[in-house]
Amino acid sequence: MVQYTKMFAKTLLLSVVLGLIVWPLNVLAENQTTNYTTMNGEARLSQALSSQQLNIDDNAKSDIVGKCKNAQIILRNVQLEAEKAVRLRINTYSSIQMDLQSIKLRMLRQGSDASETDLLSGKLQQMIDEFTVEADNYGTTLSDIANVDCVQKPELFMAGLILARTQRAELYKKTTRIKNMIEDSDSNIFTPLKKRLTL
Amino acid sequence: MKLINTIKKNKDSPVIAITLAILIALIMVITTTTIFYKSNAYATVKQIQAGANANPNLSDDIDTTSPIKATDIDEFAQSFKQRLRNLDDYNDFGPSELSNQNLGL
Repeated sequence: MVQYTKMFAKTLLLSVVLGLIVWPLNVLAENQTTNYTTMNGEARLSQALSSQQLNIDDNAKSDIVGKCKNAQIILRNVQLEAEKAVRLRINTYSSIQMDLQSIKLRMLRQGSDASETDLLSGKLQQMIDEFTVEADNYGTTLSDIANVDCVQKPELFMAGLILARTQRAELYKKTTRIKNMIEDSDSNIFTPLKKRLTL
Repeated sequence: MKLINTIKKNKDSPVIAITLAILIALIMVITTTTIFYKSNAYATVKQIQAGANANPNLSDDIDTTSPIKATDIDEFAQSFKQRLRNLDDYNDFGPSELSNQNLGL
């Protein structure tokens, strides 16, 4: 009985020690999961405000308070237009991906190497993923500033607007990069493919 | 009771020790698996799986069998460029929509 009790106590102690080791890991995992999208709108805007270290004087604040409600109506339309533009682009990029897949499979059937399509497709997919993440963040920011109580918290409204402008500029850069990549892909992608098909 | 008596009888048995080790290992596995399922890493894995399955019939919608010539590659290349040129990036993501002037600020 004493031996059994000792064994049980050792097992229990070991389990407690393991739990104490594992519990901080669990806390760490949960801390890392508190990301941008799980915060609420005001929390995101507060984060933007503190990272921008924005200071608005009283005149500017009263100016914003007087005009922000109308601005929020316009922002809701901007958000709808942005959603349409993003959807259109994702559909366009997807159609290009499908055609690249078609080229690859048709060339493989003919016994021709089409590895350049994989290269282009991979680069394109990476850019599409970056674009999608940025578009999602931009849409979230627009929603946040369109819904924040800008009369009570004009500084959050302004911080969100500054963030949205940055994100919009980033989206423009990303779509331009995709366009440029396709425009510049003749020499390293399409020409080698054509050469293989004319041999 | 029978189990306890068996353990008491064979307290020095390697079988008991091994069983105990396996039990502890199981506890560790269950704990770490539970942590993984609660973490965002698992959510990301699910997201990636969903993305990979988003177009399960990709090959069903595209021509994968007809012969392809060099001229077809040219046509594809031009088509890709044209599709992207049709997108008005500046209008859709340029700075004017969020300017103070446009927002009435």
